[in-house]
Amino acid sequence: MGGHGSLRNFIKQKNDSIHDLFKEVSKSDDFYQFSTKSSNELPIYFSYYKSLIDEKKIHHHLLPYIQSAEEVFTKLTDVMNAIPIEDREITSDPKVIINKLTKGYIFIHLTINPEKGILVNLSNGTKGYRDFNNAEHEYSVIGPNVGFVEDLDTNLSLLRRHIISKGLVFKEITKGSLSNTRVVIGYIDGIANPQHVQTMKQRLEDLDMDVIFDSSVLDQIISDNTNTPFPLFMSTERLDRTIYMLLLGQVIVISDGSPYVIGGPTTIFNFFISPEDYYSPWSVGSFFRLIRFIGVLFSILATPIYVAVLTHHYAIIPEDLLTPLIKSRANVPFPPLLEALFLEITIELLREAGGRLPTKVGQTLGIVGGIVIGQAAVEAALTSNILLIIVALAALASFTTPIFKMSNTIRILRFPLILLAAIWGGFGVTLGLTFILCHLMRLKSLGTTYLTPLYPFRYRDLNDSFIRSSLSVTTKRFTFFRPLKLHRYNVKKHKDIEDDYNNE
Amino acid sequence: MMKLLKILFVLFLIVGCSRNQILEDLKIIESLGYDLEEDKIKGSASFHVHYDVPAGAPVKLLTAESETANGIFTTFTQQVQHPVAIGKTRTIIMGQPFANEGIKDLIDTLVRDPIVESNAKMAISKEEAAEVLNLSMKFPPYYLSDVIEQNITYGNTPKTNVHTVLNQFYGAGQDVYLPVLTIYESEKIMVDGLGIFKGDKLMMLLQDREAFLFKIIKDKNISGTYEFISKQKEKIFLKIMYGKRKISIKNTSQNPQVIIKLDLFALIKDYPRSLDLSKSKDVKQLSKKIEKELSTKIERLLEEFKERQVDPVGFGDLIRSEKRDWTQDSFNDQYPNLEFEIETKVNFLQKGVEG
Repeated sequence: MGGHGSLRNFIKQKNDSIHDLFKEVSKSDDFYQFSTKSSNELPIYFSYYKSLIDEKKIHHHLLPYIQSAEEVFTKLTDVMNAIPIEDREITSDPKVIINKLTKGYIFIHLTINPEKGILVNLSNGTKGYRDFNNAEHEYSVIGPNVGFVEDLDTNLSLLRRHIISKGLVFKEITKGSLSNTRVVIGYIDGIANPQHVQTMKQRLEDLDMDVIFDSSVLDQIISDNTNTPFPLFMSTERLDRTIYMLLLGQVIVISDGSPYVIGGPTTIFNFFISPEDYYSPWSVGSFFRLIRFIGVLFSILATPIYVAVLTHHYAIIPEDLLTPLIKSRANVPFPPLLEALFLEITIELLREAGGRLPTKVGQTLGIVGGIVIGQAAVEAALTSNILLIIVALAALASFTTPIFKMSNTIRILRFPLILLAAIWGGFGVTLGLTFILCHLMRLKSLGTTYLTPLYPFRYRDLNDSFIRSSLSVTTKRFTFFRPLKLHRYNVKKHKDIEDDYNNE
Repeated sequence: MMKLLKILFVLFLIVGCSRNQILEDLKIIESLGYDLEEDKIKGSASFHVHYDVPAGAPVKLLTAESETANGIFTTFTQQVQHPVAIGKTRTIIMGQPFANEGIKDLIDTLVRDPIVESNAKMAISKEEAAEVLNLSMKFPPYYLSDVIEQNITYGNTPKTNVHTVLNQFYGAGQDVYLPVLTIYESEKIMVDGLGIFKGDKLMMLLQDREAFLFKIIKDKNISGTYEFISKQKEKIFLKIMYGKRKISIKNTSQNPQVIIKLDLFALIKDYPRSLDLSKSKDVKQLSKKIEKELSTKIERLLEEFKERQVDPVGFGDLIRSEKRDWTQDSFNDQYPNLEFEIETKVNFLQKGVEG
């Protein structure tokens, strides 16, 4: 990336000859120039960035045709006719030359200081990128496990192979002043609302950034509200989830070099659905989805309620719990707030460290950290064992959401609630929840309110929010994405099954 | 948004925290006891220590003397190392002399106290309240309230708690009734009957059997156990599982007449072996016997209430709901002339396994 920096300055300052261009560019050691002789003993020079091109292509598809061509090369057009690669052009503009050189093109010229030359595309887009595309971070037990990779063309081809329709439209723009990353907006023409597409395109064109590392950088710049911990665009690595987004009428943005695809507009319920809900029968899928919601509520509220009850509201503790609670807390020197914070921070430390430990050490340290430290803390009367169970369960429950960004949000939402619970008790917890609710009600994702279909109450769109209704019910798309066509498919009854008491 | 956060932060600092009551740093009082000692109130409080205490420092009852009902807490605070918390007080026991003198002050305190549970049980004790509480310290936590609660659900005590007592005390046309505790064989605490108040003074004590009869004419949960010996010296025991009751008043202006209709469903557990309950003739005979017994005993109980001029069943309240210009004094004149008509019907649910 360092070579690109000096080149950028170069192009801004000088617009001059190719000779000066080569002088600047040869400062970088991976800029390579060599020459061969063609059949009439005239030399042909090749200039390229060695790190960007595919050696196989230059060995098999370029040099043999030029070196063993029988005709005589006098002009560039003769050489051009001999090259079997279709992405080639003759140019004399240094700006275009440097632009294409940095994309993996090779510059062929007939003299040492040329006026013009041929640019041929020999890039190897997937070099250095992994080529297996298991979705490792959004794993599902059943169903296809296909995920995106870092190369944009592979991702686009995956999408095209699954939505075989002329309605799938990709619009490509280049963003990033230093990185010149290709960013693609995808949508299904005829279903997606053109307003959403227009808004997305407008926001992307207006943004200015030097390097687009990942699609989440784009996410943060184009989102409606950057101060919220809640993710406003869905970001996913899985192919089937992206296809589901597209067919509902959402607009996706894919960026080169990032395996995550972001899509909008979203609602908060999109972050709780998992592809496995759709690959199981609807009752099973609904049950697990409800468990996810309960898990999230438990994760946010369990520790704050513990802190609030033990600090302020001793009167609501059932009498059978009094003895275990008091006994476990009798020798703990801290008030419940400090004890809870200590345990929560320990769990967060374990999680952060566990993500960075090498796998061989990670296993043992996980067991040591989790079990032994927890036991030892209880024995040393630094914490109580009831709180340990609650904190561990809450930490576990925060990971039930399938999207990683949402589980991060839930992790951090707990801490202000714990503080409020220690200060004002049950009233503080209610205050915190009210704040969160008010904040959620005002959030908008690309113009769509975040809490639909609950907050602007849309009765008919509830069939896929808390429970996943059977496929015979979800024949229409959600209305809050305002798609152009609502109807998805028709439901037909089986002709061979009769409606008598012989069948279940 | 940032401005809002700064304002919120400053608000935090101004308002501050609310006062902590951390669970293990409290003395959670389980029962309060009030006795009368020559014009002064002798209060006692029982609690349990849930963590391990050193062997030489046993947990003892808190006692205090004061003039007012709440003055005992000052002396309690002087005796303990943690603050005294009454948020989980489940029973309030009053000694019999205290109840005879009048419970008006205590009830006045209770009605204005937001911390004491509405579900707390009030009771009278035949012995000194302090003695009962001292005995209860040996038992597991909340033993007293569990005993009373269990008797309300499965025994012969009608439902009573601070909420109903306050309603009966301040409501017109109704007198207070409270369960009675006693020490049995000097080691056990037993619920033994009911105490009926007139106004705020204890007037009469009912025994366990009469408490059952009172329960089936007053309480919503018509259940309990009853045994009796009939005129033919037969010993019968029944357990009422559920039932329906209808109390209506006729002729409210001149000579009011109360009609009580009871429809009981019972399990018959002990009956004379001479009867064979698989024959409907015997069933009818037995049920008639029981009905007659119940009706006469209930009528006798109600007459006794009339004699002592107490009205725990709430006939005054019932008449007040039908008359516009009802006053307590006019009812006091009417009450001695009240006539009762009681119809009981007993259905047998199970008679036992046939041999």
